[in-house]
Formats: sequence, structure tokens, C-alpha cells
Amino acid sequence: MVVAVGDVVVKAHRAGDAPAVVAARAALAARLPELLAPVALPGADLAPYVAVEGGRAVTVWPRGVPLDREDPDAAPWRGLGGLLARLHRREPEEAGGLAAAGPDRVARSVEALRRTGRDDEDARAVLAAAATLAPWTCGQAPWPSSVHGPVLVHGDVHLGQLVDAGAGLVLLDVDDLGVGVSAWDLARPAAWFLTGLVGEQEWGSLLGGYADAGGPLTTDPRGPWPELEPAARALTVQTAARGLLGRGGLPADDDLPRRLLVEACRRIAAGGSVPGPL
Amino acid sequence: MSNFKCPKCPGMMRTYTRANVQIEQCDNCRGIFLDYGELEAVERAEAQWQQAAPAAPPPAQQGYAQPQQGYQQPAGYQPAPQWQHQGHQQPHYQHGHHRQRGFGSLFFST
Repeated sequence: MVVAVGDVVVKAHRAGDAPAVVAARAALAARLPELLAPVALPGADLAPYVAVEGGRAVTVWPRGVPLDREDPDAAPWRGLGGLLARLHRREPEEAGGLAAAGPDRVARSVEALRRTGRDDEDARAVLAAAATLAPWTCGQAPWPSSVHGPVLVHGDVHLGQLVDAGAGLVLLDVDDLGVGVSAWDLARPAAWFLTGLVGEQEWGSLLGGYADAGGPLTTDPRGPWPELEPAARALTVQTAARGLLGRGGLPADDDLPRRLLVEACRRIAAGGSVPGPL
Repeated sequence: MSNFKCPKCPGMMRTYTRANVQIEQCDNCRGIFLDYGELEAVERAEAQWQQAAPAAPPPAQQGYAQPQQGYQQPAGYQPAPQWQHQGHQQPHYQHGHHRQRGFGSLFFST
């Protein structure tokens, strides 16, 4: 839960997020120029950044200016690519052993859809696509050596995570921050591109910004897709599953994203499992 | 000037010919309307142009244009996966359709 109070934002983290882990992530964000820095709370239970209320971690953040949701043309795709590249180039040791969340959430969303027992065409398409996922993309196995990592990753990239708090655009939300694979942070924008939610130009700008800032994923001579595809596939399946479950924040008055995601799952299922060594 | 109104703004649609395909473009918001099959025709023409141009890099995906800015895909890069979205079979409105309507969904995590 997030509440804005004056010029700060107060966030009550999920009940399942251990306050000590939130404290470690907040302290990490405070050291990283790519992330919004938390507000220090002297005298808090887990000072300097985390108070504990009813067992839940509570953090306080500066209130920045978010992106305009009504203006797709103003979306800073290049800037987002640059931020991710710089984050991925940091020493993963800075995370002090914190693992990024992400792939395990994919498995949970698919399982939730399966448990509903839905057997309509859309649900069948999403579950059939889920059956093709590489084990490392849904929390069933560690990432293979062919995937670039470990790097520091944000873990939950979307346009709602970008904010300008006075010193230029930064990423906010530390809940999934930690050590992971570079492909994961680019996988959601890649999934948007592959499902048709964003165009070639937006995707090209993001990847260009990432490559120009020396991001590690684009230095592979084969290009980013061999690593990116399995992760983008998993996030497409997850977002489609959440859409069918009525969760995940897909707009209620706009059926297009859900429809595009389910169509992408149909194409994934028709194509079979991930080609190559991944 | 054709005599139909832009479906997105108060502008009027103007007819242009690109690669032997008639395209309607709004004189106000620059949105483009393509009838059934027109997008595919433009893509074919573009692919032919790319094959004909000696210095042009190979197309990343059959019939797909390279990004106009930001990122030139170097030679040797593997193409985007085959389940990539391939445009619409129905008449579609490039500016208003996906970009405006789907944009809100890019602000949420899963």
C-alpha cells in the first residue's frame, strides 16, 4: 500500500516481505544513483530506512514526478534503457547476496490460473504457452551459464517505476531489487514489443539507450534475443495469466492489452518450446 | 483531400501514395489509416527496397523495417522470435490504436 503525504510517499510493504530484507534493499537503493533513494527515518526500528508496523516494513520516499500516462510520445524509452544499462554494469557484490525476485512470481501466476479450473479458449492458450517455458524463467531452476549474470537488477520494470525527484529520471520500488540476470529487466519491455503493445521504434529506442550506455546484454555478438526471448516469453505468459485472473492492474475499460497478450500466448503455444540451448 | 474525417481527432484524412499503395493520413494529428492488405503491401515494397540497396543491413525479420532511430541492429544478430506480433489483418489505425489504448497497461507490474 502506498500513501502520499505532503512531499513524501509512505509505503507499507507486503506482509510476506521480511522487514530485514526490505531494509537491506532500501539501503542498497540509497547507494545506487539509478534508484530513488529512501528518506532516512532516524530512530526507526530498522534505521535508517525501515519502520515496522504490525510486523510490516514501512518505508518513506521522496515524491517525484511520474510519467504522463496520457502521452505515449513523451515516454523516455532511451532514458529507461540507459538507466538499466548503468544498473547492470554495477558490481553485483553491492547487493550483499540479496537475490532479485521475479521468476518465482511467474510460476505463482500460472498456478493461480490453473487452480481456477477455467477451461475456456483463452485460459487454454495461456496454460499451453506456460508449458513451453524454460525452467529458469519460472523459478523451477537456477539460470543456466549461457545466460548473462549475475548483475544487479531492478526486477520489476514498467513505466510506473520511473520518476523524477529533482535529479533526473530514476527507478523506484525496491521490492524485487537484487542479483539476477540482465535479461530479466529488459524482458517486460521486450514482451510489450513482441505482443504488439509497443512498436518497433519504442523498442529500438530502449535497446539503443541500453547499448549506448554499455549494457551487458547487447554486447553478445548474437544480439539480445537468445537470452531475452525465454524471459520475455515468461513475462508474456505471466501478464496474460494475471489479466485473465482480473489482477495485474490491466485497465478494466481497455480489453486490448489482455487480447494482445492472449494472442501472443497462442502464437507461443503454436511454436513449441524455446529453441536452442536455453 | 479525401472526404472522411479522422477517427481520432477533428482533422481530415488526406490521400498519399507510397510504394504504389494509397495511404490516408490525417492532416492534423498525422495518424495513418491502412485498409486491408495495405500494410503487407508496404512491407513487401520495403523488403524489396532493402534487398536492392547494397549498403542496407539485412532485414531483422521478413518484411519488418529496422528501427528508424535508436538502434541499428548489427550484422550477426539473431532476429526477434517468430512469435513476434505481425500487425493486423483488419484495417487499423496506427497512431490511435495500440499506442494510446495499450499505453496505460505499461504502468503496472504483474
